Amino acid sequence: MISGSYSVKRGDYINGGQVSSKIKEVLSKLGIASEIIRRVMIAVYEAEMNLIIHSYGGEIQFFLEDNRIDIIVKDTGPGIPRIELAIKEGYSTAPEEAREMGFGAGMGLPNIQKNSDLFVIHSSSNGTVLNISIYLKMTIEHEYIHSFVGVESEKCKKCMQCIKVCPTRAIRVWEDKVHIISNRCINCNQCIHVCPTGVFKLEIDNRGIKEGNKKVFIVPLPMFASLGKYKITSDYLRLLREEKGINLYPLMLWEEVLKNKVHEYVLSEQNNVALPVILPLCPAVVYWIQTEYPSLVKHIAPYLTPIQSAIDNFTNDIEITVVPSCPSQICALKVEENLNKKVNILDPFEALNYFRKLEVGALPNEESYELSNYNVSKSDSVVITGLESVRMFLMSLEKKQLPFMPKIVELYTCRGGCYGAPFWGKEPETTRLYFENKWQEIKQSSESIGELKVQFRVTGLKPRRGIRLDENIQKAMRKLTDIEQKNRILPGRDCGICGAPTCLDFAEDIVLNNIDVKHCPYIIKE
Amino acid sequence: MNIQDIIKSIDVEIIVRGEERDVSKVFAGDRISDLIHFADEKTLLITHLNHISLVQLYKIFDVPAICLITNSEPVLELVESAQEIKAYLLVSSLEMYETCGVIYKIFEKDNTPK
Repeated sequence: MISGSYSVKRGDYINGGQVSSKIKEVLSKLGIASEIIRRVMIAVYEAEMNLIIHSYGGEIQFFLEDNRIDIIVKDTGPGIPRIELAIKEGYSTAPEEAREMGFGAGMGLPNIQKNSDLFVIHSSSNGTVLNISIYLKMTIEHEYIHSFVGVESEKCKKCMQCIKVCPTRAIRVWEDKVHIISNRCINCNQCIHVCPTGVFKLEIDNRGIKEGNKKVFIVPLPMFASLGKYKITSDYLRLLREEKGINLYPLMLWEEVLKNKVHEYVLSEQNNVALPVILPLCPAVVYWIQTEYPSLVKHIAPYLTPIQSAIDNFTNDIEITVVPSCPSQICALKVEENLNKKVNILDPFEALNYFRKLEVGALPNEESYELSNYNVSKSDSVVITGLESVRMFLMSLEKKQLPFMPKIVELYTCRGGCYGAPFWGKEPETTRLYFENKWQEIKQSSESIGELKVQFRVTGLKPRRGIRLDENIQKAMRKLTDIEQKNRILPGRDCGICGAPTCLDFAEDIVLNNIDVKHCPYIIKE
Repeated sequence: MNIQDIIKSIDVEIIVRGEERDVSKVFAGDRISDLIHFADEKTLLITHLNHISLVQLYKIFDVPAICLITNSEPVLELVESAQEIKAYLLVSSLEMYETCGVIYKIFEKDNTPK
């Protein structure tokens, strides 16, 4: 990796552009394509001038990795009060002196956005951080959200439940191999839930937990329910911190901030937003909409998912361990990875083992699950959980057949939301109720890390490009005709014995993947 | 077309003579963001801005020529950077509208797509 760091002074118009020049020199020497350099330069130059015009001064860092250039622009304040305004073309707060020089067109951030593949702004009164990434080459991983579901085919006993349950029909069982069509997979938990033999698992490149020093964990609340004793209390968090140097932050902290933010967003932009606004809480739902309901992408509130925002609340030198509840959270971390953060993803089962072994605090009694006087949550948003309900909702919304139009909706592919992830093995609704009532106590006992922040999604979500039959349109059309023909000879029972969820999918497999038509039991009979 | 073909056909003063490079498009504007968005190594820029901020258009964005207008006297830094980078710095005697009009005609005559 090649990197560099340069400081920029406030009001230093005379030297404006020097950092960009230096970075350009490095990139040119390395022989980076001129079209890429141009995009980097527009982004860096706009950012540099922003530092000179608007900030108290700051620095620009760049990192060149195998396939991407990351630029981090940091300043020490005063911060952007309203990012959603600042990224609008033509909106400017530049002073007169800057305008006289041709700056202050209100095109700075929009220009950066146009020229970057990934752009995240994070701003508070202590300063603003821009994370800008430009890919050297667009590859399939950047274009598509891809699957983070690992497969152990040898465990499969061909019950075919997974192919039926997969919402985007992305699973095939071929001969002795279970195959996931990566660019269709939305990384929900459904196959993991349904498989009786544990074929599916989270795909994690496990780095383990390092010994020593301060540790930061971001964990889902229901994980603690699975420690067997509903262990998470303010005492437990304190003891972990004091005895083991472990700081635990429930992901719920950011979920809560996100809900409040989106609530404000809906109130302030009421006339400009597509209702209902969908909370980007469950990444799988976001991917699902991008994949199968492209017309609804505009309903998703422009914020990153909580797990993406959460890691941005810690400084770079801290290694953060995240325990995900599903593959979609891994995907959210990996695909739109926050730059330069050392994030360690830990398998839920390993996390449970880890915390069990720590033996911190007295083991609570079995009856600790008792709640006297519990409150039922009053939420402004409509909460819809479970694949079927979410599918029904999205379809009705697309066809404009909802009985009424809720303002904010929370959708989760798992029944019971993240409480219903397959790793925790607890009944989700009662677990949720328990933690909702315990929440204030738990919240106050996490060590403070200042004001919690969620990230505005600057680069808008785009519909995901579906599966393409062929790069060449002529060939694609021929294949489409082929598929239709093959589909006509199939029985249309969608029984799933062939390993594909429907006859149409099987026809596609025959044409695209040379699967033998004889896998269909009805064809053999005839 | 070659930058010389343009210089020949319009009343401009050559402040700095740069390398002979081809110009295939022209962009006129007074906002840096617009200029850097449109400018590349084949673009002639026409602008009112007679300021040090233009230096980076030479240095970072490889613009082969900048034309100021209405006989303005270029700031020193701009002249120096044009010399350093070996790019053209021109000053037209005409106003923005007229300068653009004349150059437009030159391109039209040349039939080169703008």
